[in-house]
Amino acid sequence: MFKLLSYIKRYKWYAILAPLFMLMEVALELMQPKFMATIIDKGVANGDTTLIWRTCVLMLATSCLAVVGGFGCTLFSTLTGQHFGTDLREKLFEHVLKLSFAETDRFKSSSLITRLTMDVNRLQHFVVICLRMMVRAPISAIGGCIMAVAIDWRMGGVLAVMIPVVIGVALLSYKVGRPLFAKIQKMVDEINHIIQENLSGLRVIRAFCRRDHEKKRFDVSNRQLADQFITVARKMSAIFPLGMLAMHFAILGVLIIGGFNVRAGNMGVGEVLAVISYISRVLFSFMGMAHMLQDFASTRVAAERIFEVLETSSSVQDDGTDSVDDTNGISLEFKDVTFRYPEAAGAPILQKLSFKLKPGERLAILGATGSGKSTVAQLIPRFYDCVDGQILLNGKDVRQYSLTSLRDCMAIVLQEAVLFSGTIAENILWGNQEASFDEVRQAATIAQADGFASGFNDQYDTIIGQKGITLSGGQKQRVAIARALLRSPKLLILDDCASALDVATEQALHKALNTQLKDTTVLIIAQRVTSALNADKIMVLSDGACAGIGTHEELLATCQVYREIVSSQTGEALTA
Amino acid sequence: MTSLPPSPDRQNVTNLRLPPRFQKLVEAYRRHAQINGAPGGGGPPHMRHLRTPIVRAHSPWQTFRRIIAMAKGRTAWIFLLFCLAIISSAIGLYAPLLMRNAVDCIRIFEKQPETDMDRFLLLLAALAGLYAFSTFLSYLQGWFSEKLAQDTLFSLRQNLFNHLNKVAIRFLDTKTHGEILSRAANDLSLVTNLVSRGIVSFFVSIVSLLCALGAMLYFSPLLTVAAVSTIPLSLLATKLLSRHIRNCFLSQQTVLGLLNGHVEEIFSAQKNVKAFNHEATAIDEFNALNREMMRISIWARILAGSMPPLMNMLNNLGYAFLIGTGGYLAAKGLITIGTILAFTQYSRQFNGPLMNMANQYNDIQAALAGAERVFALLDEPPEADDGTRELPQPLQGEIVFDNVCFAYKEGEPVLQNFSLHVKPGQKIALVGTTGAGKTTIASLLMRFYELNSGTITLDGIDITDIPRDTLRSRIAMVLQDTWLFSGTIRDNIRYGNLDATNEQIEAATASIGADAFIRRLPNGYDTLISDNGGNISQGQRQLICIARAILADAPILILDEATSNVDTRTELLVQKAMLHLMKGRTCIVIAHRLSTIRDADSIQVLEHGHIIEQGSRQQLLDAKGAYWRLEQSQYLGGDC
Repeated sequence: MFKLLSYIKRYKWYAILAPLFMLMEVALELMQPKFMATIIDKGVANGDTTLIWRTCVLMLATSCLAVVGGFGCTLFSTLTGQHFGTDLREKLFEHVLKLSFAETDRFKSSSLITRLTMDVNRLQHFVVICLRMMVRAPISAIGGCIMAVAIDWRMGGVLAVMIPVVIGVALLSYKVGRPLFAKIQKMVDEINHIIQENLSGLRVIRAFCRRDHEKKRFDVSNRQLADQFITVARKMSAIFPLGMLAMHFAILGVLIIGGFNVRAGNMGVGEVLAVISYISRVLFSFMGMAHMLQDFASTRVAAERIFEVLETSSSVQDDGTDSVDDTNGISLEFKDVTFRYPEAAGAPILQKLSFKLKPGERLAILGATGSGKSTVAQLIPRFYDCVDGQILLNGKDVRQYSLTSLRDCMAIVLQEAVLFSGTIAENILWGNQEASFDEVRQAATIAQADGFASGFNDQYDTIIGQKGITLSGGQKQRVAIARALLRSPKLLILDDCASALDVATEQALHKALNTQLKDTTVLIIAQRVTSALNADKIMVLSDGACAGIGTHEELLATCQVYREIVSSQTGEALTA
Repeated sequence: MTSLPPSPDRQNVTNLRLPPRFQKLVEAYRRHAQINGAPGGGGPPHMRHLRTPIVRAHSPWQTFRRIIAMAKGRTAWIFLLFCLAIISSAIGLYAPLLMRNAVDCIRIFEKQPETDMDRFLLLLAALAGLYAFSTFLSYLQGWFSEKLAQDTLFSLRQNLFNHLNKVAIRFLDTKTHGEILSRAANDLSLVTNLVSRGIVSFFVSIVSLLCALGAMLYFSPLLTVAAVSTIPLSLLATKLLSRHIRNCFLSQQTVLGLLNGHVEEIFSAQKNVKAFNHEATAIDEFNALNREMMRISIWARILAGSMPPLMNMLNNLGYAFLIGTGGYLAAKGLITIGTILAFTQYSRQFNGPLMNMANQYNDIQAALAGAERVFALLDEPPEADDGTRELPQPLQGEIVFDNVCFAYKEGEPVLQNFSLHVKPGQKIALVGTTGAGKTTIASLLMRFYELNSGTITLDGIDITDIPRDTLRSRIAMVLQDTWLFSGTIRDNIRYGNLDATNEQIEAATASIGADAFIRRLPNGYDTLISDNGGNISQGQRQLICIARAILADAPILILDEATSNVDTRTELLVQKAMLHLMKGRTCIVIAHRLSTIRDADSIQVLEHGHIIEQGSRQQLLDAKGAYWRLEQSQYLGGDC
């Protein structure tokens, strides 16, 4: 929790001013009962109406001043809290983007979102409450005690009994509450996760009529959450009434002590009333603190969840300093690369894979599903680090380059064309923010996307929905390719990204690529042999190892797996 | 961004300053809302949004009433809570009376009788008992009201969730998932505050407020006037501030929704973000939204936060007024000191609920804003489902598209007068350029979207006359997007048929040759699938989806690019299994890879939403038309 203080540091003036204003409000408020005592004991008892009215006006004046204090406190505590929350959110978001997939796979993305919003909000809320109550409650409590004892020292006895009782209740509530809140937070995560899954799978869920199934699944979590809250209520609802009870008993105690004293002539009735008012204040403050402690229990859970993320460091270390010199193109070499996904057991997905690409060379990779083709693509920009062996780019280990420089020199089109909500142009501009519209258009033309994009009413300004939902599969892929081409990369990796393109379009794409990007080293992962034929060399992957590498003719002659692939695609055509 | 003309109505968005991309999105949502006739005020559309901010608060009462309405089915609990509240209030009223009597036992004026200490102590003992009892009642009240609140929220969450699975897909297409998630999570949790503290305490407050007022009037009408003199001022302050505050909170929640949407998009596309070194821009956009949210939140909270001190001041003013007047009257001997004491307690009881509301003003306004957004989602019309006709058993599987017109967006038709006749048991293939409308045809048959005109019939019955679930349960579909939920592989396959045994699941995967790779995974069929799916390749995901569809065992089968990422050798296995499976079923296969559709009975070549060629493969090859050209390019041309 105390780690959070560093986030408040920048706003220390706000954080100091807020309690100061609160101090002013409390001090002024504490004067009120004293005025009342004057009215009753001096004014009423002596029938002095002038004194009554004069004191009354004083009371009015102080309460007007108090509002200034109250407002000042609100202003500065809000400023502190909001700045704090905003900074923390920013930091958390940046941090998550720095993590590698090995770590983000561990947290579900729905959980990351809840942490980023709900948990941060809770902390923010707590900061504001703290700034108001931290000062208000103790000052009000101590001030009240002093004032009460100053009027009559015997009243201290009542406080000496009641305060420990209230503190005990507060601590108990904290102890009981914390584990309960931790559970609630987890359940909220679960609920959000189900909702997110239902959103992303809505077509499948509807296609299989699994609404009731999902409903049942959701109801279980939903019920659990509601029940947990009710359990919390059952256990915690006693806190406030118990506090009130303590207060009422304290008032009775004061009345008893006061009653005897008034009869003995030691005290005025007005003074007894003033003491009651002070003691109510004291106990109210303690109850406020008890509430805060309850809040603290749930806030602590939120803080732990945030720090769990912040303290996770990326397994892909960005400690290389070299930058890629791509003036003469880029060469690529895999040297005995072995890789296994984190937390996966069994045989490694890549086993001592080696191959070499000269600048400007084009390599196509073919292979069975799950043979490790996409893995090859994902190791180059260091989404993961290989377990053993080396990946060399221009003769240097990729780990020697800074991540930014490494990823800047290449463009990769992933298998799943992920677009963002926004316009087509914005999605393409993603590749290179500085590009002009002509460049966007040119990239789109090479990617065979210009045709359909220009056909829309809003052309490149057409807004595409969540993840590009309003485009067809092939259109999405072409936008994704255009996005990559806009970077004018020296190394281009195409991971089976033309699977939804019809053959003619794909051929046109390859033709355009071959003429427009002559110096670019290209890695094409493909299923169709026709796609592979556009490359200089073809590599056949089988179970994470190279089963053959060479030209189409060479492989036909030497590689059994390749022959099988070819015949699976041309079987009839060959015999026909 | 020089290429993009500024959006013409950007200036009209008065209360949110957003980065251009989000600005456009918000405008697009708003257009959607206007097209769909969502509440947006009167007047012609172009006039309307000139003055309308993006978000606008509805009447708080309307929203509040809806929240109350949700608790309707729980009358017994509400009644119980009411009884508790009334008893507590009665105790609350009686206690100061006892206290007054006790204090008045003590003699301070010469003219009063001698102090009666026994009576004094007796009254105090009675008070102690009363307080203990009321503590117990408050405990029950706290517990039960939370139970009521949580049960109400349970139904609200349930409604929301069920609605999400019913609402028209067209609507969901326009929003980011994060935005909707934000409504279900953030906005709903705001409502939690209101419901758990609000609904019950609202009524309890009113009861105790009225009781206190009655008691005060009974004792001294003049003092009552002094005690409540500041109430009109409080009401005025509330009225002036509340609408503005709620608007601020609505804006805040809107930005939060956008922020959530952005985060969800970025987190779920992390590979792309990293590959393009796009972290900095993503962070910039995040920060812009984050800062904007801060700006609005600060306004909202400062405005709302000025309420408690203001109310506190008015409260203190009233208090001073009360003491002054009371003191004056007591000095004149018109009332006793005990009455003043009782009055200060009553006025606390009277002002307490009001102060409470003022202190929670922030939360209440935020909750109303949140509730409004939740209700807006609930008000989105669900997919029309008014069909009542049952499908014949067994189903023949004859599908007819008759003059179907369809457009996702007005003015950009995807299908125009499209007609297609699939005979029972026929295996039909759709090929053609991307964007030709192939997936749309499948989606329309599943009734994911409604037609603009024309009809689709299944065994002669218009599909709009068939209950949606009946229709969909007769069609097994493998979609282009390979959605797997986080769970085991086994559970994901079983999704196609929840009653399937393990043997059936394994048989289904074995038939398409997916058994081998699953068994090689460390936990076999019980391997958990992770969010980013690192452990399973795209092609493998597709295989799992196919196995799922096989299990569904429906009379009609749609395969939309089901094997596009599967290598061709594995695909051969899949095809063999499919050939067996397709016997006696009507099938629609969409594919680019022509090897996938070799065995189709009839191939339809689509272009721009029209069928330009159809026939069996041999017929099409003989015709040497579009299909022939496709095949030439795909099958290595003259190479082989």
